[in-house]
Amino acid sequence: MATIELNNVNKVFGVDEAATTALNNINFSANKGEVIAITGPSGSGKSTFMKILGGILSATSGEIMINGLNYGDMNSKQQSRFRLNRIGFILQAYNLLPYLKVKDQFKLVNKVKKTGNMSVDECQQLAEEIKVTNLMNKYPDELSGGQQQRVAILRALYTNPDIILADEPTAALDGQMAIKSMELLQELAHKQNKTVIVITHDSRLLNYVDKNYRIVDGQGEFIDTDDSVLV
Amino acid sequence: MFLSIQEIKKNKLRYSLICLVIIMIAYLIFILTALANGLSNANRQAIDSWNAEKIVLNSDANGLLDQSTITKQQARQYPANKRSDITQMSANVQTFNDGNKVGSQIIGLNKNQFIYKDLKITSGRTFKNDYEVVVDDSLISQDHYRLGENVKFSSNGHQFKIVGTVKNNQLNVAPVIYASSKNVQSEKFGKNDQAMISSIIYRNDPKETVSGTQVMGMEDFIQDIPGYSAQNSTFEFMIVFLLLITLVVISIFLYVLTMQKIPYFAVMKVQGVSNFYLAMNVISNAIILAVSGVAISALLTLLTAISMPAAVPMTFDPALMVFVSIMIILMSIIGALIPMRTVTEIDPATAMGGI
Repeated sequence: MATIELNNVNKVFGVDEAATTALNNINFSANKGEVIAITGPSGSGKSTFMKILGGILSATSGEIMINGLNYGDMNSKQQSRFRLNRIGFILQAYNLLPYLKVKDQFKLVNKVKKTGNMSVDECQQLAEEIKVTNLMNKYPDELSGGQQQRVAILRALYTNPDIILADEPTAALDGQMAIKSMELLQELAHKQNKTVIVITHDSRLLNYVDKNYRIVDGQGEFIDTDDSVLV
Repeated sequence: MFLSIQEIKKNKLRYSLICLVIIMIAYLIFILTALANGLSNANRQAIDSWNAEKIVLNSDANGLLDQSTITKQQARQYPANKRSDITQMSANVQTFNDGNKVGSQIIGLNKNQFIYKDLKITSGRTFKNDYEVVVDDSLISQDHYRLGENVKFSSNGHQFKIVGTVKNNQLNVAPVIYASSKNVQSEKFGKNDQAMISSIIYRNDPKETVSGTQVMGMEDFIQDIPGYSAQNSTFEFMIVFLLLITLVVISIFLYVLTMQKIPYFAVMKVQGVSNFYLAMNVISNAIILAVSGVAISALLTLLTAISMPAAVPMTFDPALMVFVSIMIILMSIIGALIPMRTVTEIDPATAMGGI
């Protein structure tokens, strides 16, 4: 059974003459241990796809199955709880709260999700790996864009999610750190059987993904990862 | 609470300014409450100290003690049980030494009745003859009269010696002087009408009303004190209005703060943080601000109470202050509920850009 399965998913914004189709009959599946890139030109529907996948946005029609559960059947509270427990988000906007020090970002997670998070040792080990150990006592506005993104990656992984949804996770990182972050996500997928889905415009990252799902004008298909046409 | 504390620590100036507004409003409420309480007490302290249930007044006196006269015949028809006859007179009490004058309420008492028997003497002793008086201790502490000093309270020049003091005995915002009924009667009504009194105080219900008199409950009688109800209503209105201002101020501040935090709330919603947790964050912000504001203003009020001259009629009643504090905090919590709808309606999709 696929971890994530989208069947005939459509998303239309607006009604009647103002209606715009963002996603058109999307069929998609992702399995445990896979890293899948979502590529396509700007405005093609990648972010809408990601929002629907994460339960942030509801589809106009179609079926979204995650771990065998129909996401559409859940109410917003259940979806929220599901996201908290099963999905790790890495957003373009770094998803860090500006009034919490880095260490407090993790304390907040512990407050809202009391079990199943990384142990202190696991967190420290990962923090060292992505070089955020020395940033723990700083506020986000004291960090560079790259540092913030690395902390955001650690923050997303801290809940031990089954599924990691990343929207341009390496956009703010230098080449070396971008590669390192993708290696980390790849390792998590392959060694810990997590499903990683990454929206990216960075062709270098395709070396670290197992599949490439390309969306153009709201229609998607799996293509060869060697296909370097990203925009 | 965790999120709120961290947020306040990070934005100290912003939250300090909001807290300052709450401190000022709470301080104003405390001071007004103390003033209202003090003025209310200054009107009724003596009456409260009698611990009585009913008062008999002349039916034409319009509920006012200083306009009431009860004749000997009328007084005789009322039962003797749990009764205390009083003769009231407003007068300037004047010392012989320096001519210092203080407007006072003279209350003439019979020594065999309960008000005299129950006088709680705080210094000196109770009066024993017709030329001795017991005074409210404000005459000693504020107006510099002394125990053992001779005073007069009318033009006929009778001397009365201050032999003792009682605490918290003011009437119509003037200190009470307790004296023998005989001399007060003669001062007020003249030597020929010594049998007349101003009213009869009962610790029970006399259950009858003699012609030409009226029987009132003590609370009704107090409410009829000139200006008492109007003054209390004015203060109550001001205090309620200030509590409503607290509600509005907190609501506006929290609404603005919440609007500024929408992107962060959206991010937290994406991450699965529940509406309940976010709502509690807004409410705990309000509680922290209100509790800090109230605590600091209570401290300021305490300092004010210590430094305030005794002549200012302010009474800081701890129970009343606690009640007012709870009301301010309650108003703040209600104020925090107003931006709650905004919090629950935040669309997490706004945290993710793109189409």
